[in-house]
Amino acid sequence: MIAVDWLIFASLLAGLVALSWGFRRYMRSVADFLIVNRSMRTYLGVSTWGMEGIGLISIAYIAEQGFTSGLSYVWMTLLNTALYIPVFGIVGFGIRRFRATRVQTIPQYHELRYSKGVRISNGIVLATGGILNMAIFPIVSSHFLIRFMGLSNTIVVFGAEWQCVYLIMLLLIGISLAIALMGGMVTVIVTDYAQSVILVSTLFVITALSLQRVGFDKFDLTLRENFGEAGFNPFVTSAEGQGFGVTWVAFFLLSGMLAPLCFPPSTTKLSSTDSTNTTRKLALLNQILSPGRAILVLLWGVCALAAMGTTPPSDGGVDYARYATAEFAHNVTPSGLLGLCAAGMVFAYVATGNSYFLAWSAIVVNDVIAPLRASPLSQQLHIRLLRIVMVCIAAFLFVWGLLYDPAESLLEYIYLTGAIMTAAAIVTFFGLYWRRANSLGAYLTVAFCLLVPVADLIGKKLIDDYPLRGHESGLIAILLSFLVFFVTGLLSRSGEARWHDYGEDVREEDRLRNAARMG
Amino acid sequence: MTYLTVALLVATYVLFTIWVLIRGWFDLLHMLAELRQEPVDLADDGRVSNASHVIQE
Repeated sequence: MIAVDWLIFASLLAGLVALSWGFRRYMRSVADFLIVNRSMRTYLGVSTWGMEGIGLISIAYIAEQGFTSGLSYVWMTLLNTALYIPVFGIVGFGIRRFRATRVQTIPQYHELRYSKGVRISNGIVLATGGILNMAIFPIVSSHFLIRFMGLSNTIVVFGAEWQCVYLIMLLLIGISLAIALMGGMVTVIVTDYAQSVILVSTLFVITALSLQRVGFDKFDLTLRENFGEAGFNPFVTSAEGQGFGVTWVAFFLLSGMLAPLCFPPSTTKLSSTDSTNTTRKLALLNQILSPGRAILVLLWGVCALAAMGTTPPSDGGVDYARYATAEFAHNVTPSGLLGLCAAGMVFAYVATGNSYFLAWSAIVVNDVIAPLRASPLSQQLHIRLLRIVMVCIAAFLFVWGLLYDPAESLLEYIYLTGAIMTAAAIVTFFGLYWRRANSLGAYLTVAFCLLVPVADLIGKKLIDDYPLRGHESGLIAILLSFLVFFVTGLLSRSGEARWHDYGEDVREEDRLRNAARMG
Repeated sequence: MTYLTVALLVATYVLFTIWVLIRGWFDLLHMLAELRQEPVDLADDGRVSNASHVIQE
C-alpha cells in the first residue's frame, strides 16, 4: 500500500474509534450495555445483524469455498433461505416467542423454563463452543488481511523486527475490543451502521474489479474445467473429492435452522429489538440480503482460481486455497482504493468481533458467574465484570490463534465448533413449544452436543485415520440430541410444571398492534 | 441457471442494501432518542427473578 492508502486506512480506523467514544455516554445500565434497552427497530437491526454475519472470517471461508468448490455454495445458501424465510421470516417460529420472554441471553430462558443448573451448564457449554468457534478468527483474518494489503511477513519498528501477523492480530482484536468495552451494544450498533457503508462499498468494488479482470468466458471455463457438475451442484462430489455432498448439505441446512436460537451474538440482536414482530421482520430482511452478500465473496474465490490456478507457487504453502483470494484481490485493487477496501475488511472483522465479545461475556457473567452468587451484582460491578471477561477472552484469542492449526477447512471448523452450541437451540425450541420438555433432556442434549464435536477435534489430533469428517460428527451430535430430548420428554411429565405459553404473549402483541392500526 | 440466480441475488442485495441503509439512519436516530428518554430499569440485569414472565411454582 502506498502513503495515500495508509492515510485513508488510518483515518477510517481512527474515525471509527472516535465515533464509538462519542456515543459511549448513551450507555447507562446493564440493559443498555447488552441489549440497548430493547429499542432497536427493524432496519438498524438488519444493518447490525448483517455486519455481524459477514465478518472477515466469513469472507475468508466463503472465498475459500469459491476457490475449492465453485458456485455450488450458491445453492446451499438458497436452500437455506428457502427454508429459513417461511419458518422464521414469515411465521417467526421460535424467535417471536423467544423475544416475548424478555430475556437477555439464551441460558436465562433456560433457567426460566428448566432450572438454574441447566442455565449454568448451558452457559458453560455455549461459552466454550463460542469462544473456540471464535478463536481462529484473529489468526485467519490476520493472514488474509496481510495478503490483501500486500504486507511483508516482518516489519522493523523501533529497531526491532516484528511478525506482521501478530501486529495485525493485535490491531483487529484491539479495535473490536475497544468498541465493545466503551458502550457495549450501544457503540456496537452505532459503529456497525457506519461500518456497513464502507464494507458494502468494499464488496462492490472488489467484485466489479475481479469480474472485469477475469471476464465471463474465463470464469465459466474455470468452473467447468476444475469442478464439472460439482461446481454448480452441491449434492455432487467430483472424482477428486471436490464439492460438498449430501451429508454436508444436510448438516448445513440443519445448522441453519437451529442458528437463530443457538448463537448468542445473533440472539442478543433478537433480544435488542423493540417488539416480537420486529424480531420476525429482522429475520426476514436479513435472510433476503445474506445470500447476495455471500455470493459476492464467492465470486472473488472463483475469479481468484481463474486468474491464479490451482497450483500453489513454490512459497504458497498449505494454505494456498485459503488465502489465494486475498492475494488476487490485492492484485486487482488499484492504489487509492486499496486503503478504503483494507479498512472495509478490518471493519468486517471488527463488527463480528465486538458482537462476539459482548455476547460471550454476557453468557459468562450473566449465566455462569451471577447465578452462582448469593447476592445480585450491582450495575457498576456487573458492567465492570463484563468488561474484564471481554479482556480475558481477547487475550485467549491471541494465544489460541497462534497455537491451533485446524485440520478441517475453515467452514468445517466453524460449523463443527458451532455444533457444540446447537444444544442451546434444541433446548430452547423444545422449551418454547413442548410442555413436556424437561431438565434431564436438556442436560443430556448439552452433553451430546459437547462430547461428539470435542471428540472429533481431539480425535483428529490423535488418530490419523479418524473415521468421521467434521460435518458428520456435527450431524450425529444434533440428531442424537433431538432423539434423546424427545425420548426423555415422552418418559416424564416433570417439565409441565414450568411451562408457560409465550404464544399468548405474541398473539396479544399482534392484537394490540392491529387495534392501534385500526385507530 | 446458476448464473441467472447469482445475478438476481446480487441485484436484490444491491437494492435492499441501499434501502436498509436509508431506513436504518432513521432507526438509529430513534434508538438514540429512546436511550436518552427511556427511564433506566436497574432490575433488568439478566436475573430470572426480575424477568417479566416469572413462573411461580
